[in-house]
Amino acid sequence: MAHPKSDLPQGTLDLLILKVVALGPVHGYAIAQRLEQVSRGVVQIPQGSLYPALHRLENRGLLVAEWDASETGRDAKFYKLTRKGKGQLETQAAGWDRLTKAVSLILKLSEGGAK
Amino acid sequence: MNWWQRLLRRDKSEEELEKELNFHLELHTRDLIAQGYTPEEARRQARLALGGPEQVKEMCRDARGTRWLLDLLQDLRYGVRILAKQPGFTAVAVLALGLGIGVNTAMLSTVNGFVLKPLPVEKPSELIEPFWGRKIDNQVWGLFSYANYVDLRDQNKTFSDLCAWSEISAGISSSETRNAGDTERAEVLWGELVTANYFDVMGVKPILGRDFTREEDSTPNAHPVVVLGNQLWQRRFNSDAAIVGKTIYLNGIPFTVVGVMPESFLGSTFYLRKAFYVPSMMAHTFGRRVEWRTDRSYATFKAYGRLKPGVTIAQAEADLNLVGASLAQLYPTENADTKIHLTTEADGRFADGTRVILYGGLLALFVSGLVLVVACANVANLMLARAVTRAKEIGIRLAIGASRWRIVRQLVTESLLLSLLGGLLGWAIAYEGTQLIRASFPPIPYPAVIDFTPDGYVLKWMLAVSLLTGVIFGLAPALFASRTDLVAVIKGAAAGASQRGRRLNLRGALVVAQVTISIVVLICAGLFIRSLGKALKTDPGFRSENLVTMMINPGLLAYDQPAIKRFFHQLQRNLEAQPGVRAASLINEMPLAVARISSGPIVKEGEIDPPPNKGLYSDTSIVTPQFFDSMQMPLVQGRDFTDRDDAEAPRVVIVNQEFARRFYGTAESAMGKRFRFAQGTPLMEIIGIAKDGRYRSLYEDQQTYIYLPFYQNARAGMTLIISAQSTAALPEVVETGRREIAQLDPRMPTYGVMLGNENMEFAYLAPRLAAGMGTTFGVLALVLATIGLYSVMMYAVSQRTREIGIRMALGAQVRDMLRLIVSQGMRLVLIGIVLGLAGAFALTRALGSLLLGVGRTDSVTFLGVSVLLIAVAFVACYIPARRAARVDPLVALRHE
Repeated sequence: MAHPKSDLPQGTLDLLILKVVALGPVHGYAIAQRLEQVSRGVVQIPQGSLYPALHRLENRGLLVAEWDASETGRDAKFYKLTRKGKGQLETQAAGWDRLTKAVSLILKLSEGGAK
Repeated sequence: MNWWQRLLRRDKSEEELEKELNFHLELHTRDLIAQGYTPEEARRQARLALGGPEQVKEMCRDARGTRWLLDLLQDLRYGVRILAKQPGFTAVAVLALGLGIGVNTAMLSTVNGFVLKPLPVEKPSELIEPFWGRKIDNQVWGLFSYANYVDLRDQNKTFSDLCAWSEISAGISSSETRNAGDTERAEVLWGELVTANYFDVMGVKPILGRDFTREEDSTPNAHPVVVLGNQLWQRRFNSDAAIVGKTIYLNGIPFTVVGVMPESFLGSTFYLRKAFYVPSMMAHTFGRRVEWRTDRSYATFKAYGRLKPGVTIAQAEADLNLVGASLAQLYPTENADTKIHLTTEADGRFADGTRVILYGGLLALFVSGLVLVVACANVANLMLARAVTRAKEIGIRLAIGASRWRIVRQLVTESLLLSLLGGLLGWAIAYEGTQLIRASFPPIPYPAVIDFTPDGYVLKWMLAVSLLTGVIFGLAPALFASRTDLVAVIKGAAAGASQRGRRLNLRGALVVAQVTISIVVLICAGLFIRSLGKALKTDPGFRSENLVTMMINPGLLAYDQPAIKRFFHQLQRNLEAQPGVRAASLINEMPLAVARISSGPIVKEGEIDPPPNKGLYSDTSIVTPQFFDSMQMPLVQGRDFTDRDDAEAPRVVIVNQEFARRFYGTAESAMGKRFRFAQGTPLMEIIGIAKDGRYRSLYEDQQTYIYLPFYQNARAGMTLIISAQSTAALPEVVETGRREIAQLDPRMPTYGVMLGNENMEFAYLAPRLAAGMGTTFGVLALVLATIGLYSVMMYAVSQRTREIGIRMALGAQVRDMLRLIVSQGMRLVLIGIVLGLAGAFALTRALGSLLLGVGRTDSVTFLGVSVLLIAVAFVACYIPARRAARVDPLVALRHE
């Protein structure tokens, strides 16, 4: 891949995790996998910071965790979005949307075109 | 999950964390193997990707928010170990704090018992008490007449309900006359006349039976029903569950019991436990005049009310005054100038005269607070000294990466541990202390509720104070300690030479502060002791050692005026004939006791009434013939009252020497003169002059006093005075008195029996309490300050061992060394004394009348306290100095 891997802007990791978890109960390793696949490798989560993030979100009541049998047959910790988490996801996603639109608008300004 | 639940489940969550991370590694490894890595390489890659497992775990723990708690536990464990390792230091610190916190808690409990404890009713802070007054009297608040109360209740728009109550007393029996076994007949029970809505307003329900119906409180004397207080029910009726419906006799009249109140309920006043409640319509039965319901000038009721939701006290006060104004217009004779004042029940407790109790309490709290400051300074001093010896440990912890904040937290945790231990000790001291204060109260002839035992409110405050002191004395030393110069410490220079001066200065400042406060507290103590000494030396103007006094009130049994006069007259005659009795008489209230009456304004014959609010009043007693003889209070001029000075005879009066001096110049010129009280009282002729005495307190400036003859001013509630022939005869005379009273009317209760010097107890109460507490506080402050000074001097000497050794080696004499060290300490002490004297000077100025008759700048006290402190401080400096001077130069030089 020609593109260099991007660093995640501050605070985005939580948003991405919430989004992935919103698709259905999922365990930590699968979250890491999914993020990497969907972003086609552009976004690579340092795995070491994934778990603290998950625990933080759980602590804030945005996620709940449950132990359940995984695809390998062993028990894994599955994360689910709470209602509070869902609300948080919506506001954060909307915020992110506005921000990126604004940023791309600014970037598209032609030189000297700014009035 | 709460943090504490999480803490309890810490092992479980640790286990789960481990499991979760393992699962991750396992899956990752599996995927990598699928991608073609060898199993070994795959495992290595997976671990690399995840990062060090311990770091990840630590980050997860941080994320879960239990981190601070784990640290706290660690700090606590470490703190306990450290404190246990230095039992001497710990014991001194805990003792100092325990004493400081203990005296404060005891004081707070006492003040709490008097002032702060809410009345045990529903929402006590919303119980509103209206006071009736007149616009011309600024601070005088009185009672409501029943008719005025009813109009206020029915016409106001701001109260959801307004009830009225009135204190009464009665003897109780199981039949119309006194039976054997009716021991309560010998005392008086206190109760209340209450309106039917009273229990609703108080918001307390009976535990047995019911309260009063409207019907029962609508027709005078028609419904003799009674609700019993819990203690009476327990004591007299053995908690009889079937009491409701039974008949009891109050003042010989049958009443049907309809209910029993819960144990917590005291009645309307926080200081007096009531034994029974009857409908207000039974007022006449308890000695109220027949016209009590209609006479608007006959004010015997107090009122309590609850405001409608959203109404403020100011709005309600304006509303009641509106009603009051219309009542003033309708009934100008009785209600002219009406003004009504509203407060909450708690705020109304110490209106005008009794305010001094409140100020005394606050003063005691302030002084005990000072003792706590001295204790804190002491512990801070110890902590500072210890911080120096711990500099090495702290330096190493800093060097291996502990943050400064972490070190400070550790040290503050240790001081919090100390202060909590101190708080625990303080609690025990306070508990014993309050029992001691309680025990020092003289017998009070009422079922007074004096409960100083620390309650939940006090506990809460004490805990807060303990924690606060922990932070205060812990934080400053901790900040100092954590600023340790790393390099110097690790190199082995004990505290870093540059730091030593500053620490010593801080410790010196603490010593100065301690001495200053000690001086202030000791001077307070000294003044109070002087004041007690003065009280004990003061001649009250009468001899109490052979007196028996007891209160009697034939009004309780609804005697009319002629019957009352007959009863007392006969009683006095009969008693005088008994063996062991020297003389007998009656007075309405004993001098130097609780209650008093003031009469006036005084108008000399031929003069006109002074304008309102002007004119002189004088305290007054109503006495029977033989009063002056039985009190051994000589008449300096003229004659005593006789039985012939009765309602038909010309009005006569006896005044004291001060009264004669103030109004007529001399006793001689006062004799035979006539005066009256304003508003048309008949003129009274002065027939005798009594020797001056003390009337309200032992400290008062000489007051004027008036004695009125009983048979011209009869009243029902009187105190019987029997003068025994000897002190040994006192117990026998008490029995004689009781027997003679029962002889005349077996239903008649007596109460408030006092023997000999018990009659003076009330007068000595305030100075005794003040001197006792002052001395306790003063000695504590002195001891704590001395320990502080001593420890600072010991520390200074130990720091200067080397220097001293060199000086000695160079030929300095022992005497020089002693002077050097002692003068260093005494300099601090002298600064403290000067500051303390200035502080005490300012404080005593503010205290004013609380000082109970001793000059504010009593030179004996100021000088004595200074000398005492200098002497004690000298010893505290001299011992370390001796030690320094005995240093062997050789040893000293090898010191480090």
